[in-house]
Amino acid sequence: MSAKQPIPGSDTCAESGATTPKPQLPEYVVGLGASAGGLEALRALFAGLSNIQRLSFVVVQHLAPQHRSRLVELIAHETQLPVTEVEDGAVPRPGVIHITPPNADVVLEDGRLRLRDPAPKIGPKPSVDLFLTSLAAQMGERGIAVVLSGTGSDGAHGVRAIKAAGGLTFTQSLKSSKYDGMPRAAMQTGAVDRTLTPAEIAEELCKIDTEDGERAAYLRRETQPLEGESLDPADPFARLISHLQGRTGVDLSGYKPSTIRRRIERRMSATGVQTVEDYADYLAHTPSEAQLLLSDILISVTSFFRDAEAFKALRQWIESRVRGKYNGESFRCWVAGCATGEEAYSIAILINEAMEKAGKRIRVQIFATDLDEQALLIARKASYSKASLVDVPESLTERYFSAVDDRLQVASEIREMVVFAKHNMAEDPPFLNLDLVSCRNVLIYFANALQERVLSTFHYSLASDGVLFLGKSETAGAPAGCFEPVDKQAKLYQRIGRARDLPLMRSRREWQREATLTAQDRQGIAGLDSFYSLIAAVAPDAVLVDEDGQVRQVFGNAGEYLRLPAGEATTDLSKLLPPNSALGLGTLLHRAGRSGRAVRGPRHEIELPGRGVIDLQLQVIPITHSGQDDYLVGFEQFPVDSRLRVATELDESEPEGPRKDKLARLEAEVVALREHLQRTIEEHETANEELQALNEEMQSTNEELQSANEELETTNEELQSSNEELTTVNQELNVKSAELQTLNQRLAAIQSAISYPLLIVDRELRLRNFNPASRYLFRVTENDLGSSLKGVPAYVDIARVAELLERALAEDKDQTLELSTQGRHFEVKVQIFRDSARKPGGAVISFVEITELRDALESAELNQRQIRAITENTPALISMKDSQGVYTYANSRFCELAGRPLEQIQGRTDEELFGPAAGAAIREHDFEVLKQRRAVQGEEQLELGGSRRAWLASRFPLLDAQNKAYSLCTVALDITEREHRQRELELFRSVLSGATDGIAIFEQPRADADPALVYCSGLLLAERGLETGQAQGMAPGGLVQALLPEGATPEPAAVTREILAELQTCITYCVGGRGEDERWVELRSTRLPAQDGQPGHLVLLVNEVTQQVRNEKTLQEQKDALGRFSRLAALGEVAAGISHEIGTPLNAITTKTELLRRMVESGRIEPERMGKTTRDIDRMVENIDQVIAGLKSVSRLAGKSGRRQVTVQTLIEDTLRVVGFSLRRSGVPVQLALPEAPLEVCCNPVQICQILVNLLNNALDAIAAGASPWVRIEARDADENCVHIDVIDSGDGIPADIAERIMTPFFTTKSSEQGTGLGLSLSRSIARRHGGELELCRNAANTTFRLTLPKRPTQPNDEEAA
Amino acid sequence: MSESVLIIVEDDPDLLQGWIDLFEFTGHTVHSHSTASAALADHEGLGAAHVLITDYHLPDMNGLDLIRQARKQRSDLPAVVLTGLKQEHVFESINNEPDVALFYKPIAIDKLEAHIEALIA
Repeated sequence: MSAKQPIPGSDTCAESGATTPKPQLPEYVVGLGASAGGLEALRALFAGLSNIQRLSFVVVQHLAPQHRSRLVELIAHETQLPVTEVEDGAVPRPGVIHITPPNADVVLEDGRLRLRDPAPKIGPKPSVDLFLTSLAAQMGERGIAVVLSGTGSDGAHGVRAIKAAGGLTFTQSLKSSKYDGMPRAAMQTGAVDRTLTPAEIAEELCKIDTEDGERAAYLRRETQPLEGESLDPADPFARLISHLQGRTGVDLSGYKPSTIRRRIERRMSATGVQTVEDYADYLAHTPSEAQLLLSDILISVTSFFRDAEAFKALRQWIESRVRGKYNGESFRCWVAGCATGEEAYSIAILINEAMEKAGKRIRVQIFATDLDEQALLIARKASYSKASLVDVPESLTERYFSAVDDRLQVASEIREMVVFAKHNMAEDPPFLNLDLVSCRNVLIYFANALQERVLSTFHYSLASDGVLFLGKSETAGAPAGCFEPVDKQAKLYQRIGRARDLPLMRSRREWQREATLTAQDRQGIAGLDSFYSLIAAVAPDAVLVDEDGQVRQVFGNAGEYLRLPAGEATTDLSKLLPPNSALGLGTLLHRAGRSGRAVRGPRHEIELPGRGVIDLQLQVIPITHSGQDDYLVGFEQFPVDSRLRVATELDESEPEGPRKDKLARLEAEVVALREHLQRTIEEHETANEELQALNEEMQSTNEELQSANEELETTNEELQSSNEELTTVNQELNVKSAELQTLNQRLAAIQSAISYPLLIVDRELRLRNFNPASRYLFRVTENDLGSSLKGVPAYVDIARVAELLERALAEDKDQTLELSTQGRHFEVKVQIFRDSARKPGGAVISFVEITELRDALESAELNQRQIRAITENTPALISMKDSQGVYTYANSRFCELAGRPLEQIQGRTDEELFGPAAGAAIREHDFEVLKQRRAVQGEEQLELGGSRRAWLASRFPLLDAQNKAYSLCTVALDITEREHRQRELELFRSVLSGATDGIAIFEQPRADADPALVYCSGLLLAERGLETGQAQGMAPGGLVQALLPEGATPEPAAVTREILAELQTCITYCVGGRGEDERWVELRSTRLPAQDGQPGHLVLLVNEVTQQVRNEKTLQEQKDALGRFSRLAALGEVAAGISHEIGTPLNAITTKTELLRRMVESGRIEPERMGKTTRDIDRMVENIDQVIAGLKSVSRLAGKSGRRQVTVQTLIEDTLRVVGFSLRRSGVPVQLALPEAPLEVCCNPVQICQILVNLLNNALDAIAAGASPWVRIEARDADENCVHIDVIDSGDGIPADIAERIMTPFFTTKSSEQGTGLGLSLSRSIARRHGGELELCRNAANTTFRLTLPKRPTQPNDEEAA
Repeated sequence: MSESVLIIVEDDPDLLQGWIDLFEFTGHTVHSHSTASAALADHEGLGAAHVLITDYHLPDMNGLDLIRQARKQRSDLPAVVLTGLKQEHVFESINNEPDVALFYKPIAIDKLEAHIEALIA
């Protein structure tokens, strides 16, 4: 096998990184650090992200090392972005959230995420700092750090590193953080670009993702306080600034970075260091440098009346302001950033001038503040060089300054107006109710945010109409609506707008009352003054040094005694002093320090340039202030001891005597010195020993403390990290707990839903759970939980179940068992479940009832056997095909037919089995069945194996549950043989047809021979008491004679002749009886002539037809009766109509006559009314007359019954007379369309009148309710034989369904009480009897009945004849 | 004979006028209609009437149906049906309806009046 090859394109790479190329990194990598409370923040943040193309996210969440985190799932719930756990060597992908697994540190190395075993140190894991630092190194400007909620300070270093590398940094705002430790620590580094809520961070990240790189770069430039020169993670500028802030307590974050940078660069060149790093080191080790740098940054450049034009404007404003004040009021002013006080004094002078000019006595308070203590010291002294007063007018100089030496001292009245105080305007509480705030050339050093903040402070401080005085290049526009320019050129701004809230002050300083400030200020000056006087008195020429001998201040002419040695500049006094004086300095300082008193040193001769040799004595005075030991080293000058000088001079030429003296003296001196030295050494040693002991004690204490501290720190960190872990775990547990609860509820629901008993037991067969359905088989209660299954009372053989369980547990395999109890069958299933260690933890026992299933199976099996037996033993062919026409089953009969075993039939089609022609025919039948989806039965014929065969086949589809035919079943009975016989029988039956009573067959050998009886049905003969033998050979005539009663038949030979006359004959004889006893016999003969040598045959059928004849007669009689009845019914209808016609007016007449009678009886005779009534009666009587006339004409017509020639005109006239009254009363107009010439028809006029009356009455009834009704009668020649009479009414036809039935007897649309329904059907039968017709014209627009009558007599039918 | 309000429905105008003349002469107030639907629309007449007198054969519905409809407005309204046809089913259906009297034409006016009198009293 060849060597392992790296998989190309694989994301992970555990192999050596050297061989794999550095992968393509996403455009940005975002490192998210979080700890306690981080889950919430992360969820909120990721919820706000969607459709990310360029950013890749790496989440570094502090987690408990042993804890299996579900962070990936939890975050995946919140975001659409894919979430994965970091694998070693994975490449961060854009748009993907990578989650660091627990107990591993993650770093970005060579473009891959590498997991590392965390360092053994105590602290949160994974380390945010570690990742962010690696991110900064890898991604540089394209690294983004986000620090979210958490305690501790992890992430702060990382943020700084990211910032140093030029990346972007975000922290969660403190308010929105559950725990603000980590964000706060990050913010304290000053390297945070934005402090936002998680949702806002998400928004910003989205912006970075969508917008181009320029915007991100802009963002960076705008907010980055310092631009580093190197990419070293610990940015030197940041370190420098933080160091400076630590030393001085001044917040420089608001200062413009460029300004600070410039200042630092200035100091760098000033101190001669090359790099920022070196300078930072220098700063760290040189305490005074911090102050110097700060002074430089807080540059204090002012002079009196700086910028004359502006001061002119200010003077005018002050003058007007002062004029507006009353005596005793105060003028309050705040000079912020007063530096060395020139401006404060300038303003004081202006106010004083204005006061004098206005003649007012006003209390003036000027608060001059600055951060720079050094500057304030100068200001308090109020002594200035003449140079700084060049801008001051001569008059003012004289008036307010007095010359002291070559300096000018501010007049005390002005000095008293001003209070100097150290104050940070950005942080400390401001002064209030001010008339004037002067803040010149300070704001220019501030960044915009700080400027706004300071201006807001001023706005708050100023009285409502106060004025702000700014420097030349400054404006007060930024917080809109606060200031409005009074003099734009002079930068004078009036405060406007409502009072606002004071911006939050960061200072921890209490609000110092002005009085206190004033007191301190005064005291400071007084103290300083007395200090200087004291020094002048005690040691006019002196230097102030600190414990280390560094010169702090030089007084008087001390400089004369000092010199600057070659080499590096130094302030070490021991180096500045002449060498011989310097020797004893250490001892002196030591002694002075120990004794706390002033000590003097020996005198030394030194040579001062230009002053010759002098005797110098050093005096050291210890000065203790604010816990610090300083020393004043005074220089006392004595004239040179001439004696000594002489001695020296005489050195070579001194005489013996004095020399001895001198020697003795020197020896004495040496002894004294030795003693002194000895004492000193002893003292020194003692001190040393003491120090040593002390030192040791200190050291051990220190060590103890240190170790205790370390222990505490360790414990603390441990607690902290476990706390964070616990918090995280708790959050996850909460989520998990909720999920578990839901699952539990579902489980309970599932158990309840299972309808068969279900038990859960543990390994020891103790019952652990059961579902409600268990009670069917077990008398189990909640109390049984935990007890052994064997003890549970059950309706089944629990011992077998237990055995099964034990076997299942022993073999570690699921088991099943069938169990029967009380006629019910159960399938007991034991399913092992495993505990977390993958060992059998117990089992679920289910009891599924299978009684029905078993019964069903058994019966199904039985059924199947039965069906199989039936199909195999049936004489029919049975086969089944699927929907494709492929055989799936065939019975043995079928196999025989096909001549193949079943196996060769299955899977084949009809074509394959029976050839294409037969196959196609069968297929056609099959299709028919499939199409109709029901059984099709019929006879089929097929050409099989050369012979045509016939089957009675039933084909039917088998339908599945979706009612789709999935199979086709055919049952076919071979009826080929039967068919043959059938046909023969058919023939025979036709021969014997009609043989109901008797049949006789004669054989006729030749055409001229008499037929002789060969067969006669026994029944026929038995009836006549004849034996078959007796009848054999009889001729037809003889047989007839023998069969019929005596005397009923004609002569036998004649009968024979008659029968033979035709091929078929039918003769009916009346045989005996009269009336009811009359009997009839019918003889039917069929002759089959001789053919092909076969003798001819004669078949004679003898039937008694008495009943038939009798039925026919009854029918005829009934027909006649019906005809008579119908005529009567028609007449009755006419009569009823007429009775109504007459009855109605008669009723009216009755009322009228009754009225008349009452009038007469009551005597209330109203002639007019009576007249009208009688007229009404007359009119009605007339109506009745007309009806009667009509009736007469009908009766006249009726009188002449029978058919004759009449004109249609007459018929219609008579008809109208009969119905005239009804027509008039209904008010329906009748139109007549009759030809001029008489139109003759042949008819029974009464009957035709009846038809017309009927039609007209129907029409009136139908249209009575309609609008504008009418009736029309039309008559015309139809052809040469017929005439049409149409009765049309205004109705719009008759509905089709009614039209169908309208002519049938008893049909009527009228309610049952009106009419009998006989009308139309009767009318039609009348018309037909006339050889005419009555029909409804279906196509006419209006309801039209057409009566067709013949013009000339037609053949009279039965009724007419009868 | 006391005076009362009658509502009369008859499709034959002559007979209707006869009834009106006769009953008004006797002192009754008469609301007259020639169709059942007109009578049913006469809510005032139905409300005031003591008796409803109607012909059985009306053009739009039969008298019995009219009575049933009218009684939806006034359930206590006594009624009299006049008919010229002696038909069994008419007799039966009217007999089954409470408070309806049946008079065959020609009407014995005295008997009719006596009946109305009894109803009003």
